This record gives sequence, structure tokens and C-alpha cells, in this order.
Amino acid sequence: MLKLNKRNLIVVLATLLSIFFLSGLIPCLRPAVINTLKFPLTILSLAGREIKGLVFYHRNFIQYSRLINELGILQQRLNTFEEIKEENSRLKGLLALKKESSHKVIAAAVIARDPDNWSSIIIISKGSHHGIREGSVVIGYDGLLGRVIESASMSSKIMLLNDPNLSVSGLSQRSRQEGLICGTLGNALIMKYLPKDADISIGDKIITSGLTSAYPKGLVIGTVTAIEEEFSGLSKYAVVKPAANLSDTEEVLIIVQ
Amino acid sequence: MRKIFFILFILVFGLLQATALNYFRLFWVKPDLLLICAVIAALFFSPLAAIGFAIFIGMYKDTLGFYHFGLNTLLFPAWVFLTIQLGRKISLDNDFIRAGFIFLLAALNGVAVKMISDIPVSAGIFFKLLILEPLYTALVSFLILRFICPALENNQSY
Repeated sequence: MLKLNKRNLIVVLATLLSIFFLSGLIPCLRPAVINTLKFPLTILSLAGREIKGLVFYHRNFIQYSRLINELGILQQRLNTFEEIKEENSRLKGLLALKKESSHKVIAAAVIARDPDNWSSIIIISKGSHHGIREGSVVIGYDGLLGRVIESASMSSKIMLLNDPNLSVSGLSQRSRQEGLICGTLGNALIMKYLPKDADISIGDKIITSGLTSAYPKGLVIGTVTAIEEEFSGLSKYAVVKPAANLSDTEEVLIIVQ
Repeated sequence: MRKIFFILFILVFGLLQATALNYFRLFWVKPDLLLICAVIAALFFSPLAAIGFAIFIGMYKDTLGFYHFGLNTLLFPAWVFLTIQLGRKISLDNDFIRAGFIFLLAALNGVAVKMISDIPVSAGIFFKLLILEPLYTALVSFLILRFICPALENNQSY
């Protein structure tokens, strides 16, 4: 064992003090290190993506064929919606309703993920230089993804929806039942604080409630897959499958306005 | 030379952990390659160098992570110190024993991270991570110790 004579004590204390000092320096070092590592991180991310593409070639091919068919159907539906949109704007004009502004978004590529298993963070290739600010809402093509928690000049960190430190106020699109969406570090979210008699059922679509200014109203969070009773028996919770792909997200959209 | 090689080894492992390793996750869990690096440092380098490497590894992991202070910068030197002290009491020269030790260390690291950063996860998720992460890390460490570490072992300079 280490003998604690005067010299050893000084060495141990000096080491401990330096470790504490260095641990305090981490937040200042973080943006510079990530900006420096941005290039190798991007290269390795792309390499990993290519390897995954090759390994899962057959599955991707089947998915591609199915998506081509779906695209044709969706194109037809889009034409119908375009017609409805035109009609809607004409009618709104007639009613003199103020036109609601749409979100301004910036697209960015995911270059890395948190090395830890105890949080769900991604690092993207754009930062404050591109107009991304701390607290900006991040969406995928399918729904809400998370929030920007750190923004360096050329990169940003995003806390994903499935991180337990992030909570979002959500509501059921059908019944307007509200609840708090929390992460589980996996491919499921928990909608908490639902009253025992809450009107919620499997298959309900959950959207952001817009109760706080943090998230715009109406962003798709996911779909209810199970409803369980809390251990106390006083309330229940719903298990929500996120609409956005949280595990393999490669591109994200950041709402900047 | 051996130290430079090991620093490169750490840098590559850190980059892999943040990128390509995401495609090899099992039940949303990936192995902690940087913790394996810290144990390797304790096993194959002098105590002073090992502590230095542990601080470097901890800082590297913290810069890629999100904790508000350097949690890993504090924890990794402690694990390396523990490994050095334990290495003086019991023999850690067998890959199976080393992998088993890494399993225990990864579990201990998980408990420490959960307790210090107070992550609001349910007991089920906590225990899932507490078992799967060390298991996956130990399995991967076995491969690393078997195929990469002989290079470090053959050139021991102290």
C-alpha cells in the first residue's frame, strides 16, 4: 500500500488538486476539442454508415423497393393536399385570418454520439456560426428529435428525446390528454402523470402541447404502444414509440426561427 | 515510442466509441473502450504514467460527453489507482481474470456515474445498463487484450 509520508502526501494532494482543476476545465475545452476532432469524426461516421449499408444490403434493397411504391402513392396524396392547401388559403383570405408563419430550419449531419451509455447525445456538424443557439428545437423528417444543449462555432450537441434528462410536454392528438414525455435511454419514451381515468389508448398519436415556449405546438413525438398503471396505483403511464429514428439518425433539422 | 503508440490507440478508440461503435450496439448499449484503455494503462505502464493516461482518457471522454464537469476525469484515475493497488495484491496476468476485473470496474463506474450525476432513470433501466454494459465491455476487452495487448506486453520498458 501507499505509505503516507510527507512527500507522498504532497504528491497525492497535488495530483488530486490537478485532477479537480482539470475536471473543471472540461466545459471550456469541449468546443475546441470537438471542432478539432470534427474531421476524423465525420470520416469515421461516414465509414460506419457505408459499412452498415454493405452489411445490410439486402434489407436496404427490399426497403428501397417498398419506399419507391410508397412514394408514388404519397405523390398522389400530396397533389390532393396541395389542392386542399390552395383552397384553405383562399378561404382564409376570405375570412381575413392572419397567415401563420412556418418554421425556418437548418439541416445538419450527425457526426458523433455520446461515448457514454448513460445519456443520449449526438454531435452535429453545424453550430452558432450557422445560427444554431442553445435551446433550439431539433426535428427529424418524421418528428421531434430533441434540443440543442451546447453550441460551439462549428458544431452543436443535441440531447435526444430518449435521454432521461429531457422532458417534453405532450398531448394525445385524439383526446387532447396531456402528459409529460420522458426518455428511457432506449427505443421507447414514457408519458407520465396521466390520471387514472385519462382518455388515452394504444395507437394514439402524441404531439407537443405547446404549453411552454420551448417547443412549438403540434410536432409529432410518437405513437402510444402500451398503457400501464403506476406502482402507486394513483396514476398511469403510456409507453410511446418515438416517431423519429433516434438510434440511427444521420441528418437532423434545427428550428432556428 | 510505446507511449505515443498508446496515445494514438486511445485517440482511435475514443473516435470509434463516438462513431462506428453505434452500429454495434446491443439493446442500446455499447462497450466502453476508453475504460478498457484505462485498465490497459494500469496493467502495462508505470503507476505515474498510468495515472497520467487515466486523466487524459477521462478528459477525452468528457469532452465528447455532456456532463457539466469532468466526471470521467475524476473517476478514471480512481479506477486506475484501484487497478494498480489490486495488481499488487492479486495476479492480473490472465486475460480471463482481466476481463472479469474489467466487468467489475465497468459496473462500479456505472454505479458511480448514476450516483454522482443523478440520472433520473427507473430501476429497471438502471439494472439493464448496469449488467449489459459491463458484460459487453468485458467481452470486447477480452478480444482487445488477446490481440492488441501482446504488442504492449512485449515492449515493456519498466
